[in-house]
Amino acid sequence: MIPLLLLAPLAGVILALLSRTPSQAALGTVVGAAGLLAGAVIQGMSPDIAAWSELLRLDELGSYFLLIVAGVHFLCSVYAYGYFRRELEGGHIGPAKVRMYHVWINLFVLSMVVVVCSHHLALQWVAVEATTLFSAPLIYLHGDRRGMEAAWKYLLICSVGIAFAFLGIIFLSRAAGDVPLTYTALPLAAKRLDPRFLRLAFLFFLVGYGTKMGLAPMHTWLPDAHSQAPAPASAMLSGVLLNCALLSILRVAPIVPGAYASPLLILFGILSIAVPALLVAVQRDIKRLLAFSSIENMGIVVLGLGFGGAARPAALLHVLNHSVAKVLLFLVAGDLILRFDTQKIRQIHGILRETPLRGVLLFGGILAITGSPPFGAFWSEFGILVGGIAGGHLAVSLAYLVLLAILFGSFLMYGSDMVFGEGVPRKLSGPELWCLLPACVLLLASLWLGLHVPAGLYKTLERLSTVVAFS
Amino acid sequence: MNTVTILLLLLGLHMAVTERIRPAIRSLAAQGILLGLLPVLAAPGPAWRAAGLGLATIAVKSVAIPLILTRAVNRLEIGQESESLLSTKTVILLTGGLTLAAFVACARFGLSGQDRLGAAAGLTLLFSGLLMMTTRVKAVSQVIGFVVLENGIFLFGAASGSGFTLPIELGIFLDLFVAVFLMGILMFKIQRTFTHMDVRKIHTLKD
Repeated sequence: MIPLLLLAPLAGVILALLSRTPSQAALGTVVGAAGLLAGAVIQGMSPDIAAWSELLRLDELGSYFLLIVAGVHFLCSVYAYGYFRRELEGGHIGPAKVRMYHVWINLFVLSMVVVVCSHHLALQWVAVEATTLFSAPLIYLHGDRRGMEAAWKYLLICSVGIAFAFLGIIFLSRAAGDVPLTYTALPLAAKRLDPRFLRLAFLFFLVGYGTKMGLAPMHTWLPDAHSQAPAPASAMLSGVLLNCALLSILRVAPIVPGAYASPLLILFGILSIAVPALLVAVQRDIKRLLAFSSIENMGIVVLGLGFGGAARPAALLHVLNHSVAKVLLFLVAGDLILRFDTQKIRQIHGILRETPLRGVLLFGGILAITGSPPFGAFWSEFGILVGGIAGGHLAVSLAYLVLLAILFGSFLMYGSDMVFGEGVPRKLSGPELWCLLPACVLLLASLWLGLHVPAGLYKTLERLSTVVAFS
Repeated sequence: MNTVTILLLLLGLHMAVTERIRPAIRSLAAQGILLGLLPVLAAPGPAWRAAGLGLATIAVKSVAIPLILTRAVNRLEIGQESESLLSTKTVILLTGGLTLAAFVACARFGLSGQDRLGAAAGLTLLFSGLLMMTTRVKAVSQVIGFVVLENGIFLFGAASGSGFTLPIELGIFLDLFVAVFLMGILMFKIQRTFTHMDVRKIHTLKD
């Protein structure tokens, strides 16, 4: 199965390189994405673990993350078809650049598939660094100065972050002695590992991959990078790349003592919620606003993992809920930016009156991302709160609740400013159906996850939460 | 082995304090050759693996990366000086302090003998690379700092005796090469739009 999963995005790369027109390239990406999604679903339903050599192995945890990657990539590839046609018609971008987008996005997805399938610490590191390298050209696709500045920061800061994660691998290999650094061998030998080097290794993993995940205070590159990339790429960066960095931290959890790891996760988690809570109030750019929300949501996930207990399955569920809602918002924001020809929040208003569907999508997305019922994130954020209180972290839980309330207020304010009020009539720009359809699917998915968490998903998350529990 | 480590350390200190870019690139290339000798001198495993690793190291670290950087310096017509936010005196003091800190940290962690020297030299390079990245103004110097940091981690890893299978090691080199290559491309592109390559002046993106 794994060769097929790798082949799908590779086919997308080849089709994009062979294509003559931007539409053909986009079609190639859709075909590759459909193949990847089909493979991920088939693998997700099968109880067996797919393995290819010693290094690549797709277990249930990897499968869960792969399903998110494949689902988001498929919807974004459909969206990208319509989005770039509109950008081309508007003269914002040339056909050669659109083709390059499709080449890089498929390579980027390929590297993420390797991340979720990696069964060896060092291979995982190579793949995570590759995700940085393949996504950097997406950030400066438009070739303007802001994009290049963002890409420079992204490349430099994330490469240094990842270098720290590599130091973590060196410490871990010292702690492990002659135990191979694979995810089956390490937990079996957990008792024999040298605890001093193990602790040091985890600290470096958390700081290193945490940089890539956008955890505060290493988050400084994220709002720039995520706001400068074209909308479908922003959606992929926020919606699935951050998850891949998280997975890299989760992989070492079974060998790290919880008494050491939990306080660290709680600290980084609450800090990553607090920084956006303070900074969203002064944002002027709609995509930067969404980028700060990604930092916050990664903070929520890490906080949940730090709380442990009942918060752990909720944190894993929040990974899915965040991806669904954030991708929805980035896709809608991309459409609005094309329609209003601005990224400034204050110049976007009266959406509901002009185009009711977009109004519903944007407002629904904002309610979904802030964890309001009846959307999915409500349950995961609530579950983390319950887990925190049950675990005796009363002060942190209270702070978490207050910060979430502040963020909810800020987002609601921005949302109502954009959605309600007098509309400004805008001319239609290009085929919009392909941009709106994926967003509708995501809104319905978020609603579905809120109205009823499927029993199968719940059981899976319970099982996975024992896999990622600290020792 | 110890000689190689000490030479690596001295080259690193040279780059940390020098104010001129071209000599710094030459030191970087020399470091690459010395790092290429490490697997041959010390790495466990069969000889072909050591030879492969050594060749890959030299190809990437002492040929490809210095070439990219030299081309950048030539084509971008940036001056000879690598401006720093700190005075040379401060840099020397800071580098000395960081070196001391690295040796103390390694001693406290109970590393002994040959291990300790390699690990401490590696940590020193890592620290001075970070210092270069954060205090140097020109993009080229920041990239040099990044490669010094990577070299430090490589040396630290070699001293700690961590080795992976050859495909993974080659993957690590490929990543480093592509990273520097992309940084090189970005430098050209930024030069074209900004007509200067002074990182202090790019701050349009702010909160």
